[in-house]
Amino acid sequence: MDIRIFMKAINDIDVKLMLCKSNFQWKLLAEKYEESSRKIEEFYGEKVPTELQDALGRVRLQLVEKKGQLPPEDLLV
Amino acid sequence: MGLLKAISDAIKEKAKEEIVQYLKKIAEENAAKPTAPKPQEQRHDKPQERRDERKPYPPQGGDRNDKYDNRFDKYADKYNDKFNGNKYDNGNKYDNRNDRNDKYDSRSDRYDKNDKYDGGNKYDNRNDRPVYPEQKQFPKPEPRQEHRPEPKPEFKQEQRPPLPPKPEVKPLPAPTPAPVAAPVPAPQPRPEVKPLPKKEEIILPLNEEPIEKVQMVVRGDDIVLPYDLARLIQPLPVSEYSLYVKMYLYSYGIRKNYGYVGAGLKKSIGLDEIDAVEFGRLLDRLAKRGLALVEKISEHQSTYILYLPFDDKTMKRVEEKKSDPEPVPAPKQDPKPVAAKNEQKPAPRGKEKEKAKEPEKGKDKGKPKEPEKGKGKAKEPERPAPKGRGGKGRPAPEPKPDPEPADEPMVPGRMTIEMDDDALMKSYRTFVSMEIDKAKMRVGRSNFDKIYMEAVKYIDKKYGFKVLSDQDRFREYLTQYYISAFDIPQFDDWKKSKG
Repeated sequence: MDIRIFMKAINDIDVKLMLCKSNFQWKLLAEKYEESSRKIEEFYGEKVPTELQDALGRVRLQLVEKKGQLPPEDLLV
Repeated sequence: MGLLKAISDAIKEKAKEEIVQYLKKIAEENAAKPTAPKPQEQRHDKPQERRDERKPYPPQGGDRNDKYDNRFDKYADKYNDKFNGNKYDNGNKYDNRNDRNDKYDSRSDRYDKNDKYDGGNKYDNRNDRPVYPEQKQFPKPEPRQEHRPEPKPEFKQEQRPPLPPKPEVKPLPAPTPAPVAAPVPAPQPRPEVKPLPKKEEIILPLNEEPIEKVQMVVRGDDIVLPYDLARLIQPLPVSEYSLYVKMYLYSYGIRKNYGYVGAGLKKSIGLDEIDAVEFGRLLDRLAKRGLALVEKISEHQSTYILYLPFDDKTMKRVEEKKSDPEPVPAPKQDPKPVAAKNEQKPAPRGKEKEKAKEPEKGKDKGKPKEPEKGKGKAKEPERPAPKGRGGKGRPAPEPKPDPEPADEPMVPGRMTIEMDDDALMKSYRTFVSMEIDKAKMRVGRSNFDKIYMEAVKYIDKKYGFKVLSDQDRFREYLTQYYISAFDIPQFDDWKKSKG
């Protein structure tokens, strides 16, 4: 039951990521992802189910790719 | 489509042939016909008759008196018709206009005013009409005699006695060539009148006190105009007076009495509508009066120093560096100091080495900048580094009056070596930004997007996912990535290259 809840949260991020158009939206999704990841670690500790690990890795990769697709933010200079 | 085109071509060819045949036929008919009377003259006759019944034209070529006579005849005719009740006045007597036309035709030639179409042959026998040989030379047909009804000779002879024989008209003597004027002797070259040299206006100096660069140390609420100065500038013409007062007020606004002469100054003192030449002339006059100093530093650039009575309490003198051959005041004071700008922006974190320097810079930020004692030069850069100059940046002036020795203003475009690290870092940032822009244009947009994607993945891998959400850190790492990717020199190398 807990896995399903976590999986649903991760899948929600995955779905919303497809509709993400701006860096601000991406940032909200990234924060949501970090929160979900933190909750999973807190709940499972060291023994995170493989299914959740794969889902987290997949969503992270998609988040990174999406960040690369979005218009670059201003440089430091 | 091809069929339609073929049909249309065939139709066109057939039409062309028919047209050619028709034209040939017409040409043959015309060749067979005898020469017909000129249709143009017939055309002349038709409106002529129409005009006969309305308003005849005066005869052409007559002298002025003749014109008047004809006019009087016409009016007399009308007058008679109207009041004397002659035989022509009854409109009902004639059934139509044609009858009336006959009446006019039956009258003497003198009443036919449309003789201008007759080529002058028919009525040339009148004495009051000059006949020119040119008219005689053209044998003209008499179409009127063909088409007009013959006038009744009996009636003519009854009405009017035969005209006297036409005197022989002597042809006008051939125009003799104009006597050639005697050759005018060539005008002697006049001695060139040299324009008198413009009388230079003598402008007596009003002020003999030295003019020196000053800066206002204390900024008060009021602008003080000393009584002596007010009395001094009182005799100035209104234009110079207003210019001096405006510049005086402006000097208090920028807290210094010197700067560049140009459009910026004109605009700042509210004289942007005045012509630059006129403005320069007024400024020169002020300089001649001893109220300003104007120094030309280049072909198109000059500086000014306005005379201000020195006040120890509120002003300080700007000492000029003697080693500098051209000490030039800065045009403007940047109202926003670098320190304040640096406080607003995140501190540069481009490199790990710079990170170590950060705290030191942070300490320096709050303090006013002090000149490096070892070098003994006090430089106060007046302008921020303009973007796009490739690292030729300058620090900004101090916002508050500092009690240190006078600052040396800079000439725009001159590289200042003695810059502190903040200024150098700012210049370096500008330089890196320019280099990245150049690289972006060089590799193209799509390739640059790919590089950005790789940079994001690299940063995620190396520094963790959290860095992607942290805007400042992400920018910093991204800049580093670009510096590595596009071979942009690091800060130290760039600093060394700057010397």
